Amino acid sequence: MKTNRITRTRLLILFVLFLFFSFGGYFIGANTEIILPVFNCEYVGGGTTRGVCIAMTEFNKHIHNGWTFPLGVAACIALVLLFGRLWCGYVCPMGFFQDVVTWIRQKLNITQINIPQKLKPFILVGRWYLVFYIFFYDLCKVCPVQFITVPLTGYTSNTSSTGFFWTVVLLVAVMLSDRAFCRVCPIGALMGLANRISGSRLRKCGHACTHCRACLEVCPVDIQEVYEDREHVDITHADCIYCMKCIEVCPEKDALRFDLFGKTIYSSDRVTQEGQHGAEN
Amino acid sequence: MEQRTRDRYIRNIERVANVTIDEVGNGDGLEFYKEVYQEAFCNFDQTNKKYIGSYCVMIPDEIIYALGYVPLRLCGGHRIPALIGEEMVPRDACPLVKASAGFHAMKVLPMYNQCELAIIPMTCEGKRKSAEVLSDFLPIIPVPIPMSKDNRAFEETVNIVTALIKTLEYQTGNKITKRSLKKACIDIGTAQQQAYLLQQKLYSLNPQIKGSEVMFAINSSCFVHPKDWTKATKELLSLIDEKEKTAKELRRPKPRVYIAGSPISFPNFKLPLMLEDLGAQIVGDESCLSGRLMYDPVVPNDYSIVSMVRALSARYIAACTCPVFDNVEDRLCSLKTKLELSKAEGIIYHVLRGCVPYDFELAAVEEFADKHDIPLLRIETDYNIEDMEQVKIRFEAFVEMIEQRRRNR
Ligand code: SF4
Ligand code: SF4
Ligand code: SF4
Repeated sequence: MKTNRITRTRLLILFVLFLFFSFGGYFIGANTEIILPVFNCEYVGGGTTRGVCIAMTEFNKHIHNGWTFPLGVAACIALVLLFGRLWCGYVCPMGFFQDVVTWIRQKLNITQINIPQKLKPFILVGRWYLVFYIFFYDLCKVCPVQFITVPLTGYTSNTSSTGFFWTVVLLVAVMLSDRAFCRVCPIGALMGLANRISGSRLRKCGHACTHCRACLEVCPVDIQEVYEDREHVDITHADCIYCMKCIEVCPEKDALRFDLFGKTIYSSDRVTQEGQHGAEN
Repeated sequence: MEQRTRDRYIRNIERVANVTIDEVGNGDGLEFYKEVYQEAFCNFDQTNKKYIGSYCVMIPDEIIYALGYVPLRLCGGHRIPALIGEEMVPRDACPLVKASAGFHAMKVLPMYNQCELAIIPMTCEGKRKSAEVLSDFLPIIPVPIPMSKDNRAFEETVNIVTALIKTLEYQTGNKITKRSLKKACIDIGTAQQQAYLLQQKLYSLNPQIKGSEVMFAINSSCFVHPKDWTKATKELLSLIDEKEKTAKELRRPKPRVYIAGSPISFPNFKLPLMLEDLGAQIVGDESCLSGRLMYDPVVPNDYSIVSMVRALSARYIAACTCPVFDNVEDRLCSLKTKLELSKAEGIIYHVLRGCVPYDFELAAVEEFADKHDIPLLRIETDYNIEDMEQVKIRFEAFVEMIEQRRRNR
């Protein structure tokens, strides 16, 4: 089994969807009824669906305009409950952007900074502050995402120096650490709640695990439990974006696996094919 | 040293090594490994290789290759130097420590003489204290290993490995580059994949290679470049594949035995060889010098030095199931997996006389074996052959018991 099979497929899916979100509107027309649980900026020129971010910031504005908006929101929530943060790993344009930066970083053999576990509580506070912020303040005024995904499609958005400042912070953070934005992303935080019950499950066979740490070393969001936990079979963490890098690198047969609605989609195996070493090939 | 003493040493080292080389397998495909041992233990001419020695399995060989040196695993399994070493370390120390000290003191084997320095991880008492004893013979770099596996300890380990690299760079005057380290990781990684495949061959119900032969092959990787080892092992594997095609199912499969416990290293293969003589099939072992030696892969997140060092620390220390660490859980988990895969019917628990850590964990492993209804036999022995008869009687009874259990099923 190729070690990077899933990652490649995942990046491809993200890329195609990125094109769809950014330019799809030119072909099939803009559509604001469908709301997807990702960071999909409204200012993107050829956008075709609405990101839940804008739905949240402009909730009060739209909620009284007919039934399509509430229905869209309900559908969006249902999608999250069904799939959990699978959206983060495979759909979100902002996730795509961060993964591309990571890919370049790996190709250049630059190390990422390891975020100490001690900082985790602070990150958690930051994340829930942003959740609060997105509901009650106008996040778009300071949102760094618009300075990233929007220019990529050849447009510019309104300029705000605070937003610009956060963009620089964000860019540096993403360069230094995989999926840095996802760690504080408010949408991700809310979807994390759904991770507990969604149909996407990361499962582990405790005794097959040798505690080799390979999974923890590659996890873009540094989920300690995947490595440490031997008691529980279901080790899906609220932060998990189902990138499955951990499964790709785990050298123990069937120690880690990903189940979608009870069906095993992918499970770990020893790589014995020549020329396949490490997470990045 | 007197020429006479030297000659006697040489004669004896060669003789004991040759006995094992001859005893292990007349099986095909082992010629390469036999030559490797012959070169290491029966050739007493100086070569121009520059060695850096290390003890235990917690010092990454990759680092040494990346520095342009040849790594050597200095853990001795030879009974002649163990006799010499007896004078240098306490009587109750394990034979491995004695043999290692003895080899240095005898000054006859080129690989020990040409060793520019030795890295000694502070694992068990024996290793810790022998660092000082050995420093009479060559420069020693003692390396502390955190005895726990939590996060704090891991970060500490990474720092220690980084510091070790710095020290080695300073001592040797060579620099480690991303390129050289990556190349070493890949060379060893490829060898490790072959070793994994080789061990898997034993899981078959009618293995076409003996367990002792697998141990012999894997242990030899300590004395040869991984690329050559990979090549030979690939050939061996395709040979086994050929045999598997024509192999018939056995009517009466051999009793399947797993060897746990203290290291078994060349030329001390008396236990596995004797077990096989008595009709058992060795289906795996957790000896750090064979079963575990090349088991875990190095999986860096990217090929930057920091990531590689982290991956090396993870592979060599975090995944290590040596009993010197503070808890036995990792070891029991890996035992469980291996026993299941190999369908073992009995465990031989090997304790080298004086090897306290392994003996300490016996109780936990015994309880574990009880729970899984697998009989376990503890054998305490050293490198000498005097107790062969006694061991044999106990092995015979054990193998017989496994067969009896089968009949009762
Ligand atoms: S957590 Fe990351 S991938 Fe998920 S919605 Fe937020 S930005 Fe997108
Ligand atoms: S736990 Fe595994 S699947 Fe989840 S984010 Fe980490 S590496 Fe990806
Ligand atoms: S990679 Fe697999 S074997 Fe290694 S610690 Fe993670 S789950 Fe365990």
